[in-house]
Amino acid sequence: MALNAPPPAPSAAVRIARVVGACACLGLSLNVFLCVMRERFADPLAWGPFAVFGPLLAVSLWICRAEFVESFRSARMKVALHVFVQAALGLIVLAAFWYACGYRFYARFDLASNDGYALHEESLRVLGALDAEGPPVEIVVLHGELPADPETRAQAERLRAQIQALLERYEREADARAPGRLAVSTLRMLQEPARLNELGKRMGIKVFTPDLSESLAVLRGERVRLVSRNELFVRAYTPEGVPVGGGFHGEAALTAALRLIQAPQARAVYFTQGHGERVGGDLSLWAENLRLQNFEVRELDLAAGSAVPADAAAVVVAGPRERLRPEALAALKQYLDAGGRLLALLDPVVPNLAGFPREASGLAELLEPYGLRVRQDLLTRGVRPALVGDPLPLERLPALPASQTLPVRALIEARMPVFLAHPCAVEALPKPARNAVEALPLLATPPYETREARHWADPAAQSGARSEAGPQSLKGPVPLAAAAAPKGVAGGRDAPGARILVLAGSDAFLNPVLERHTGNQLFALAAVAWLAGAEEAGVAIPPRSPDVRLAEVSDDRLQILKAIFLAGLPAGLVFLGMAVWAARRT
Amino acid sequence: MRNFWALTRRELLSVFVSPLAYGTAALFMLLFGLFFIGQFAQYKLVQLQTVAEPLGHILPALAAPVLTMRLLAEERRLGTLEMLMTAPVTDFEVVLAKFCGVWLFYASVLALTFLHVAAMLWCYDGPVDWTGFALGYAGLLLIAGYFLAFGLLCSSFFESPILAALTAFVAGLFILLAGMILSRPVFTNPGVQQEILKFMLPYAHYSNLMRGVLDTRDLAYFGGAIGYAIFLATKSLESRKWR
Repeated sequence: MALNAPPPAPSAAVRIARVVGACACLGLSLNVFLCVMRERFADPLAWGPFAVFGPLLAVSLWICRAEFVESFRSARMKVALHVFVQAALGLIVLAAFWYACGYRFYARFDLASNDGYALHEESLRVLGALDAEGPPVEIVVLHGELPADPETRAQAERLRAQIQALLERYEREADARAPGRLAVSTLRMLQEPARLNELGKRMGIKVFTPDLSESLAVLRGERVRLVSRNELFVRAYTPEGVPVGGGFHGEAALTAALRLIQAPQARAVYFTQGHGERVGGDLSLWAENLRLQNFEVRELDLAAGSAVPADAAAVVVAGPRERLRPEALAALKQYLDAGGRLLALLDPVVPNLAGFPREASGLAELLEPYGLRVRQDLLTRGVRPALVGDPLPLERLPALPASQTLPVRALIEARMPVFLAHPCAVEALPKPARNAVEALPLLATPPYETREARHWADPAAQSGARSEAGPQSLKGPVPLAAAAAPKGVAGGRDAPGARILVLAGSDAFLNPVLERHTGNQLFALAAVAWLAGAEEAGVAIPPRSPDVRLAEVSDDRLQILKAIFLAGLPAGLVFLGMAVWAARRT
Repeated sequence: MRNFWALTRRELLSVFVSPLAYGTAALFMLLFGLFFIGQFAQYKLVQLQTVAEPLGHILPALAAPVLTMRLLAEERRLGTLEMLMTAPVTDFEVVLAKFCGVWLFYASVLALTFLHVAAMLWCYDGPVDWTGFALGYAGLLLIAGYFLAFGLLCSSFFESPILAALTAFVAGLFILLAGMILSRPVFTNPGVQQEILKFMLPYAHYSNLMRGVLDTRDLAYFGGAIGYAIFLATKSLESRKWR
């Protein structure tokens, strides 16, 4: 065939084969793309298109084979095919190289000056100890809607990025130490309602509120530990309440959660019964929240003279209406002497008013040696000025943190008060009778008189008549919660010995109050966590401090730097370029 | 190897006598300086990550098309490629020398930013994190090599340098945008596709090095990507002989 001769016109069959072949190519490519995007290679249905388009392409190529063999175009096509095949082979080699070096065999060295991108030894130890038996641990990151406010949104995005980076490290290290024992996934609460429902059923949560966004659900079988946003990012404040930054405590919180969820048994919190205490239904929300913190809530009847069970992480006496029986008091004394943990919610004794205890609980004598003086004889009240007439009584009194100690840290971080309706008072004595024990005030009302209200505690018997502090009254700030613990515990040490926390009102943890006041929720959980020693579980892992090396840039120096970098250096390069250009021209 | 060094020296000299390269370098230094002054004056942090990370991967994406557009496309357009091919050098040596020449030029421009580091140390009195600086510069060099190799590949496809630059620029922009979108925390579902996409885009690897984390996966990624782009450019050059 002469080179200049036009190629013969293709037959109809070849034309049809070209179109069909092109369509088959397109279909095959589309199917490969869809299979990759949907991870459907294992699905038999995915092979259907291959079975259809593959033979079509083969038949088309067979019909067009003369074109490839004879025509001048075929030579170019062969070249193109040659290059294409080599490129594809190169790509396969590259993919294999990346798979080997990027997935199978690799090493990672954190050379950052603050070791900010590696896990702490304690976390590595916990990951290495993930049980080979039983269900694997799952971590679900809950993503809600990002806030609209740009600054808050940026903060939330930063927190997300920190969580993501942290979980990548956990996943990688878990893969290396206990393959298949830790799975991490993200759940977008708004976009994935079905998964959310399923998770809600597992966790026993009916409604996921927006404040659960950026929380981590750590699950292992039926065991659950919810790590909240406030646990992950802990804000720091001055004693005056001015924010001074904060730190990402994610590793400490998550490692503590993993350690708890791996423990053979969930920690048991016992609620005493038999003395008119608040019953489970009134406190069901608190109990539910405790369950999400990997606590098991059980009832305890000490009336029969039985002792507090050995597996008790804490015992709660929630608002007894009657005096505790001697055998119950003896059991509690024995429990505390052995280093037990007690949370007492005590109400004022007001015999004339319905709904109040008519006699003291009897715990005062038990608690006094620990430096906790319970004043059930007082009723703390508050009024706010009215435009006309007598001041109006406050429906609930705010109790503000009175120290920086562990149980109220959550409140300080969240900058929220605890609200109580009709509290009594609890004082922390400076010198407890027992050795090596210190008593600490935790919560108190605002000062006696503020611009908004006045607060004081009256002898309860006279409460119906008074509206101002009298000579026998205790002026504000009235202490409303106090704790006793071995010396050093307040500073964060985990020392053995009894821990006691007394709150001057049992209504603070009732369902309607918890639903309405986040501060109460936080305190209800923090109190039990502190008693059970859970707060210290991850304290050994300090937050990674950012690598801050600050320079001192005076205005004069800044002007010099501007002159050099914004004018001198670019202008010098332009001048050099012009010189080169001029030299080349000549 | 002797041929390779000779070719590299030739390429390096040809870049150094190009006014366009100086113009690009001047623009590079101006943008880098603007960003440096803004960040340093605001945060006062003596670390490369703060003053260089955001711009460090955008600048090579912009500069690489300009620096590489003429490497092969211009030779092809002027017909000098045939002369080069008659010399006793392999196609691979030609492509590798061109890449190394332009990479060394970029490195020399980047070396000017040592002045910025010196300026930071001028205002600072404490211990310096030299490892952080070293890894940061390694990251800056590797991401530049990535975009330069890609620009060289585009240059091997076309006879028109403008077309080559345009293609490299659009592709670079696409890579940057995809990297930025995928690095947002919104895309945190650990799907296989996203993991693969994230691995294939340079931002995460570059970001690791800037933070002071030395991961062999990042080195493998950059090495593989640069090597594959050079391999493809070589094949593209070889294909001329077959047509």
